[in-house]
Amino acid sequence: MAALLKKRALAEYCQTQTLVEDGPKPAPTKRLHLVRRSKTVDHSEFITSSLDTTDPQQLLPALVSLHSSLPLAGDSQIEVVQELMKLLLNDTLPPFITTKVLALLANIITSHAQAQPVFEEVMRVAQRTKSKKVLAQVIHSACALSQCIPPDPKLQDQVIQLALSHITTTKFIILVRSLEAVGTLCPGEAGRVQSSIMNTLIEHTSHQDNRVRTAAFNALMVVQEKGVKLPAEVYDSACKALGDDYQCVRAAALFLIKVAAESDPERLVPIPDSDLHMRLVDHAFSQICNVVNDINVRVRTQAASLLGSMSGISEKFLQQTLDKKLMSNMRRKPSAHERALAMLSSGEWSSGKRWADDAPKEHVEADSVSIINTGSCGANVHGLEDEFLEVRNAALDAICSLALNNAQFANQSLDFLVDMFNDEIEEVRLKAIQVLQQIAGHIILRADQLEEILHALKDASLDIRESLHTFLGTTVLSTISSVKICVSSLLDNLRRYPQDRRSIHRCLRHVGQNHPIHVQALVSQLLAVHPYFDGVEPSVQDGEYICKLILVLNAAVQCPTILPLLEQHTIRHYAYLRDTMPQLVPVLKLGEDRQPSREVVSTNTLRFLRESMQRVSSVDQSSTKMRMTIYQTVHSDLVKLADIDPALSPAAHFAALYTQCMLLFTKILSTRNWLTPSSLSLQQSGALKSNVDQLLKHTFRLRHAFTNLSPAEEASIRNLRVRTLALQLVYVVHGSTGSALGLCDNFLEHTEALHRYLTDEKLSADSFLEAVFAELSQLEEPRPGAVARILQPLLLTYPVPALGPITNPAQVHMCSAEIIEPQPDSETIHKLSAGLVVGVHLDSEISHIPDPSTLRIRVAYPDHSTHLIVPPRNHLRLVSPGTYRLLTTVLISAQVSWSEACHVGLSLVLDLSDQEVLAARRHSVAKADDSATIIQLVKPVKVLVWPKSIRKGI
Amino acid sequence: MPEIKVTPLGAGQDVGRSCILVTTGGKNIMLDCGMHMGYNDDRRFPDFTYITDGPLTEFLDCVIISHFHLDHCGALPYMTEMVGYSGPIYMTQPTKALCPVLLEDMRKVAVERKGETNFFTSSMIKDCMKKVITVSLHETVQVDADLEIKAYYAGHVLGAAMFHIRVGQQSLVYTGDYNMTPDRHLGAAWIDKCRPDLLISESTYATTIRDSKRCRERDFLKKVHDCVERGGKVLIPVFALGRVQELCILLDTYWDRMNLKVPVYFHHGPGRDSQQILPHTFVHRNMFDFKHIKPFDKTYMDNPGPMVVFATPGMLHAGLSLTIFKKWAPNQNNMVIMPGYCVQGTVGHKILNGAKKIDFENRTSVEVNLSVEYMSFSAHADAKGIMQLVRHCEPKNVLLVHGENAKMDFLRQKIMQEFNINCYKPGNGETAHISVSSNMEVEVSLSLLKHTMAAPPTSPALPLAPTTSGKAEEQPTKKQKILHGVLIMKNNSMKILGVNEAWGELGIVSHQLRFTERIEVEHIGPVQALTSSLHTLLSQKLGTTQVQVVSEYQLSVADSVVINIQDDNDDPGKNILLSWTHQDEALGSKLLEIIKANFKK
Repeated sequence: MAALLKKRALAEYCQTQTLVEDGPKPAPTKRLHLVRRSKTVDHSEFITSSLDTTDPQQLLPALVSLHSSLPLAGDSQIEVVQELMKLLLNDTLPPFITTKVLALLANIITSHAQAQPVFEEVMRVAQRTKSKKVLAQVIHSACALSQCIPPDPKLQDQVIQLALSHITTTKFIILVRSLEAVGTLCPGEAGRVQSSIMNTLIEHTSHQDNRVRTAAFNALMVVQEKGVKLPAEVYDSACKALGDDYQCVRAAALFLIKVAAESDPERLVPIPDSDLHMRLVDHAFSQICNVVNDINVRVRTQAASLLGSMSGISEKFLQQTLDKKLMSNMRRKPSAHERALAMLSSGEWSSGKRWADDAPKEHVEADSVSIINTGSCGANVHGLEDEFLEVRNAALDAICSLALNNAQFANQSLDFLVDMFNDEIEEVRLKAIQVLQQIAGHIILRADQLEEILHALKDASLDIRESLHTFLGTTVLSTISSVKICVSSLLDNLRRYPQDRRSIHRCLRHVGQNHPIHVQALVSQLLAVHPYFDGVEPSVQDGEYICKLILVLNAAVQCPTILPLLEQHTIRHYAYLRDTMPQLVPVLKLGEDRQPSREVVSTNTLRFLRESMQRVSSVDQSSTKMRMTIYQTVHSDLVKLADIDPALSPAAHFAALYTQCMLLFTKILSTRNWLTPSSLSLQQSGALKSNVDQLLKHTFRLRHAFTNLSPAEEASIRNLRVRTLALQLVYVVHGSTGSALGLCDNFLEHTEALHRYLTDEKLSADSFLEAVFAELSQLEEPRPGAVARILQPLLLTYPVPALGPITNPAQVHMCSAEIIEPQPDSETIHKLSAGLVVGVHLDSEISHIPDPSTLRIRVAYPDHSTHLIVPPRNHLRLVSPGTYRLLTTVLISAQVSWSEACHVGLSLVLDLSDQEVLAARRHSVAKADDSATIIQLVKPVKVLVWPKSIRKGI
Repeated sequence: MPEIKVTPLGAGQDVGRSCILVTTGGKNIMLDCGMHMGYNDDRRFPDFTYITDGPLTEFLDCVIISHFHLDHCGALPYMTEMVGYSGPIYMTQPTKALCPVLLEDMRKVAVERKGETNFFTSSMIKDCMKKVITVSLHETVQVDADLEIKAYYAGHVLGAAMFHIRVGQQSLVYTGDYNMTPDRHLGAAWIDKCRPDLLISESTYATTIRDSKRCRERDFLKKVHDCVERGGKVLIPVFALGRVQELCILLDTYWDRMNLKVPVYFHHGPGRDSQQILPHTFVHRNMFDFKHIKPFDKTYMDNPGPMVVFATPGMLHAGLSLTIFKKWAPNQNNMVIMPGYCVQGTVGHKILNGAKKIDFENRTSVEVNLSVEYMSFSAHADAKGIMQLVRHCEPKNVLLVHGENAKMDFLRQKIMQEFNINCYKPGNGETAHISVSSNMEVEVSLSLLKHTMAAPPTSPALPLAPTTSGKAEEQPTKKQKILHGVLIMKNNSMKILGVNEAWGELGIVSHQLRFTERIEVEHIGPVQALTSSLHTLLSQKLGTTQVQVVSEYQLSVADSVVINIQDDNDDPGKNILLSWTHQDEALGSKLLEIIKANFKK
């Protein structure tokens, strides 16, 4: 069978090729294109021919293009290496060619067996060459070659010798390469070689050339990573290098200080000008803190981020990083944070009318003030106040990681983090909120701090507000008034930005769960319950009321004393909310009389699903009519089941769709004279055609909308799809006069793919498929007519098998989407000038789509034209694995003005036209209507749009 | 010992009237030329008679203006046009654009309001500006052959710059006013590690360390926001130029961020000219073009609903801001925010001190019910910032100006303690002599240097060389070496060249100085015998490779010393002619000794 298909494919291929050649003027651009492609694809030919020259002007471009075409395929690699070796032996070539060749060799060769001969030749080049650049490259390449797998210590020794012999040179590039080489090749175990390498490296940390110093520090880093213990003097010289004039040296030294401190944190370091000692890790920490004031941004950023990565620092040093003494005219001045704290503890609020209530108070002794940063003083504060957002971001990260391990530090840094909510860059503000959320477990917010934080809820940026909601959901508030402020701010937020509704609901749910006692005290205020007056019953459509209910009801789970406080209508509203938003409103234990009528019955949906499917498979032998009735009922049952049990919904949908397909199949095959549509009445043929189309659409959906299926289920879907295509082929061959060549190809391709799939998964084909495979393999030439003749009896003989029991119904995923905004019942009319565009905000959640790049927004205009819009990639954010959120603006336009506002449908679809159906498209199967290749994810939401004619004379 | 002389004519131990004379390497430079805002008599301008009576052109090489504040440039037209100076004046482009605007405003106030005579005129300001040469940041400008200046970014206000001035070997940095904490529209001052001999720094906030700017900003924004939320009107009295830009950007971005729709107005007042100049100066972000801030019209004052208004002048003593204040003061929903310091006697000062009722001259009075807030937004470096700048540029001496005497003391002591360098703080008219070490710059030819570096180290190193530790030997590159060369002083510069290069350079034909010694020896026999015996002898003493036989009468040692053997016809003996060059003196005399000892008559 497979052989035949291959033969057919080959024949097909030859045929098309001859067509191209014989055809009247085939598009020349296409041929050119093909030629060019083969050139880039085939490396070996291209290179061997172009490397066979001695003209450096031609050679260099060839080498460069070789470099860009790396990595090479197995056999061409050997050829290229030989060619390059030839070039290496040629001494007449200018140095830059030799350098490039050496670099290429190091890049191409990865295995030790190849490296050996090349290595020797490379080492010989070192003897011959006079060029410094070549020499430097030799050391570099040799180092790389000696590290090929498996590494050869003998070669490495040679490289070390070579590098060390050139260490006295004055040329920086050789020195840098040598230092790099000895650094990477330095043996891990102590010995003569190691000590001489270490000496060399340490010596060069004070070399006159900054590049050499940098290389020396970097090499020391590499050596350290191999587990070699660095001597104490390395640390000292690194500390000294922090004052270097060159930023690259400072940056390299910074890293070295960090790793040195990590390797030996407890060593005691003398403090200059005193007899005291401090721990090495503390010393290193304060050194890095100093660098936070560096003149260069990149070094500052590095220092700030390194601060966060250090661990085991003494409490004293850590807390100093948040310390900044303020003074004014030599008098100690309380910082704004301290003032806020004092104000709060004294119980009075800022009068606002006092001028200079920040007036300095006590006198400071001149000697006691240290303005310049010694030690870790204020490092993080400086980082947060830095001019550049990179540094501020790094400082935030550092504070976050330091605070995660230290609750006290977390609480101290709180004020500063809250300050960052006011940063001018949104990215920093967002990061500050995220940091706060991460350390939420350590902190308790004061009321004044909370107020500052809640202020950010007015921010126009959705990200900021949403992450703040998440934060508020996780944090613990200390007082009743805090909870109250928090709730009122959230309600204010809802008023300001109604699109935050869902996020606020979630947030309030968590707030309610976290603070049941506090909420209890607030219930009567929030719900306006009066001890003896009956209030007006609020409307359940009121957004704010819903928010309050979510808060109270969630609190009521842990604090049952809330329940008696609730009024009768609130309980009724609870029942309503429990129905409409079950994931937000928990189940409450209400008394018998108050229990909402709908009880939670223990349903056995899974068994129902199984039984339904059992029913379908048991009716194989029944009459057609009987089967059709059963299919019908099972289908509607399953659709209902999908609505009832969200956990089983994908599986139920899957089974329902499959049953529907079986129904359609039966319907089509039972239509009398379905093979001669001309003899049918107009109505019958129309129904038949629509049935076939429906079937195609359903199978396509089955094939692509469901993921996480077991191989057997996958196979049965593919089987169904192939069967459908077969049906289509038979139908078209008999029913219409047009060519069915494309359809036939499409069918064969699918069959072949299924065959491969079955062999790969070691599954057995069912009787229909086996028959198809067998018949097809006997076919000489797969003409549509012949294939259709084979298929026709097979389709009738073998009825569609019922879907086997789904192995893991809860695991099946169905791609789906939910459009949150625009709301379906929205009355707003989007007006625009005809010919221009209007943007409609779209907010939706999409789950379980196999490939996000296939997602499209489908805009359906009232004139039945549809547009597919590709949403920008960055508007699609990953919320949780498999779930995306699309926040974008859809542009709607109309060329002519309409007499009134009309509905434009917005929906989300998957456009799979480039995947499977591309083959069909190539054979011009798919018609202009693209509904065959898209999968609708959600029902269209109607938006009122009213294009008006452009007024003249503006 | 060379020295830099610094004489502040103003701003010495004082704030205001910045004018500092610097003499270095024979050049006289004036840094800033400001006026004192506190005086109305002659004391407001620097005392230029200190330099000379009459025109200053021949006594000054250049004038440098750091930024457009009047205490840094206010006396400029007076100096150039009335005292007389026609030399170059340097400033940055924005300073040049804004300076005449402020000067003109000041002139108007002085002449038209206060009725002063003998003040410079508008045309004088124009003439003065014609003498200005603009410099870009980081651009090195060659004032004359020896004097070069370079501008660095200083923050503070638009166009503020620090200047690095170099005369030959000596260099100094003048900071003007600068800001080390970044703002929204101005970054932090930045300077590279230029290691000048002297750093002249301002020290306005010598004894202050400030709180994070974010707290202040947040307070400000929150107060404004809360006020407009409850429907109140906010009045922010400001001065036309300077910090108001910062506040505008702050509010503009905040309005953007918070999606606020409340109108914000800016009344431009006398500074409106700056609007027309600046759009040409700044391409990327026009500091006067805001999304939410619209120009104010007097009729808006009575509009209902919340609004925010920036109005001049800043101390509520006159003008529009006072008019608005009178209107809004009785309503307790409203708010006034004073963003800066207020002079005693102004309405601003009174309300900051909590006055509940303000009386005006025309016997009217206004109840003050609105809330009054004070926010300090200043753009000078605090003590920490000054120390940071000193650390970044690593000067050898520091001189403090533009600050109060008592405060300077503290900072001076701190600088001397932390950095271990000298720090000065001369008063006005007092001259500080700062002695600087002077280095001779000598060019060394590269080939000579390479040759010397490549040569094996001379074992008895100079006494300076660290010979004590064994480590020194491990570091060949670190070892001191003796360099032989010719020192050439030509065209005011010095070079060290290799001998051969020097000949070429100077166009001198090389001469060889040879010493020749004739030694008579008693030797009987053919000349060849003597030659060969001499050869063996010398080979024994010096090594075979050194001695070559040139001919039967001639030997050569080490390719330079020539030994000729002559057969003297008269005497039985022979003459040995020994000739060596001046460079081979040591070898020649040794040979002479050997020959004399062995063949002496």
